[in-house]
Amino acid sequence: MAQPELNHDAIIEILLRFPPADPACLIRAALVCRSWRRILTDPAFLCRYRDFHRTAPLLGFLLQRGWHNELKVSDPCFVPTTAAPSFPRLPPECRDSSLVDCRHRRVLFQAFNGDNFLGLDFLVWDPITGGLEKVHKPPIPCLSYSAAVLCGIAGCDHRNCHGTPFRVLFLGLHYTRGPVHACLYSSETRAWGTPAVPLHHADIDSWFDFTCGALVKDELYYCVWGNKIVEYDLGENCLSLIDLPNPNRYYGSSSSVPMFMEDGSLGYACTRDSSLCLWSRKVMKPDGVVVGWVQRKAVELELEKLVPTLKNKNWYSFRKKKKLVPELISAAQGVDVVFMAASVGIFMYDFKLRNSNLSLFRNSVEIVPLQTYPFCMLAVELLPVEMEILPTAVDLKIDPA
Amino acid sequence: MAAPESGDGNNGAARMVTLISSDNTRFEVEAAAASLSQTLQLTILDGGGGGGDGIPLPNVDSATLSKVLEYCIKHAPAAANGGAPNATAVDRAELERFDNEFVNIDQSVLYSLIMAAHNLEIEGLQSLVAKKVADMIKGKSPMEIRRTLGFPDPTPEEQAEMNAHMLEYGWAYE
Repeated sequence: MAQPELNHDAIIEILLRFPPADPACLIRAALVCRSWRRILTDPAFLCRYRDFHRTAPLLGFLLQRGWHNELKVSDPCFVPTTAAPSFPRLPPECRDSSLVDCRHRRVLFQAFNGDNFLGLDFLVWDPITGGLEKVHKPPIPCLSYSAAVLCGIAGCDHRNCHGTPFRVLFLGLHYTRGPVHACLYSSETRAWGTPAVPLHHADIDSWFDFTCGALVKDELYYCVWGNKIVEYDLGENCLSLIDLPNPNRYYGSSSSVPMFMEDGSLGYACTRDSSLCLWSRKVMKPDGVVVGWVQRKAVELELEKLVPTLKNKNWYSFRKKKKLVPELISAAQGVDVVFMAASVGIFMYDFKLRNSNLSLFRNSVEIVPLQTYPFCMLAVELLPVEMEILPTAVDLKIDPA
Repeated sequence: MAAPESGDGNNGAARMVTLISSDNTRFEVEAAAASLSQTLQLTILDGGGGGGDGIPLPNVDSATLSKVLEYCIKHAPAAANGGAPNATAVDRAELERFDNEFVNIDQSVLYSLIMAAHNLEIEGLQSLVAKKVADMIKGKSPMEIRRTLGFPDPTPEEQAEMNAHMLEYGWAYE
């Protein structure tokens, strides 16, 4: 019996059900025939695909490494965590820059402005459209800072905010013991807004250069070393401090990151030596009263298991340390994944998996990884433009025989 | 989706409607089951399909229609409960078991089903069959997908295009 031919709509229904966490499936499907390719590169299909699979998966992370005098390879690079399409090449202006943040399909860089570190400018890059915008330093004093880039549309679900207005939040510490200053840039007015009232507090005792923040609804959160989380309210343009679940100061090796959890709550991951803890903030509905922190998970990380050749490493004999000590550096927003830096590379921990939730991305060169900026998106979004410009058979001059 | 009300003077027994396949076979089913089809629901609400009339379905053959109705009959009670928010775990597990077995069928029947589900606008069935086909082909190479779906062999031009894409997207084949 001849197979009935599937019509256009039936094929769309089938392709919608390809798993976004395995981007290769849709790429292969795009090669089946021209009509499938037309479907997959149609913005209307992308829209439906996004709606169907609400949360964009983690594709990989942008990596900032330390400077290496001989190799000169401190350029930011993209490290895929799944079989993913090659990430668009960084524009030349960004290659010598430092990564600062990555959110809502945009990447924020700090451009080195000649010799003057404090005369910094920002670059906001959209990897999909290739758009690049320069943002001058905000008019607030700082010794160290963190910054965030985010979509500027109120009420946006951030599933397709390309080319939309954006915001840059700048948080600066005037001295190591505060106060904290905050200022918000709008791409529509091309100007920084009125700085928020500076936040003074005896507990702020930190540098927070380039730490990763978490956006939960209309608030951005940053961990300040020690005791508190700084909260910036985008709507009210105001700063406040919230308490941590484990306020006792710990004098061993500890690190922490705030995170936007899959269930929509504010999360807080922290390490103490080689143990990893995850907390989430419980909020009473519907009035939004904060009840407190709930511990979600506590695990003892066995990082050494992933590094069987550890003993032969020079650094090991040099440092005479038995255990690898991870430092939490970032969290992938909305997918419950955290990244930790250690001397051998970047460890990724996925809180949703039941087992083998730890993976290692080893240093290919002996450069200490400084920071990671997780990148969540549907891989198929990286396709359309490239697929259209591929040479046709005629251009390739392939002999049909 | 609420079950349509029974026809006039027929409140005791469930109302029945007749569907006629493209090869002229008549199927008598409960109106509630046939109403899982958005297309049929309107006709049935208007009182059609009862008595000797029957609703002709020129795009669906009898083999496919009997399969479609098997699905509708099984799913009608849950659909009548408004998507079954109060269904027990046992009921849901039973439906899931039925669904898994239901799509464990010959590929050509699967394609006929997907088209029929589409024509008749039976959302649950559409989704079930599309998921099954997606699972069948998602791990395959483009050529294997073409073969599985019974596409003709690619023309040399298409083949060259595929080769070029494969060079570009080698990572998708590892």
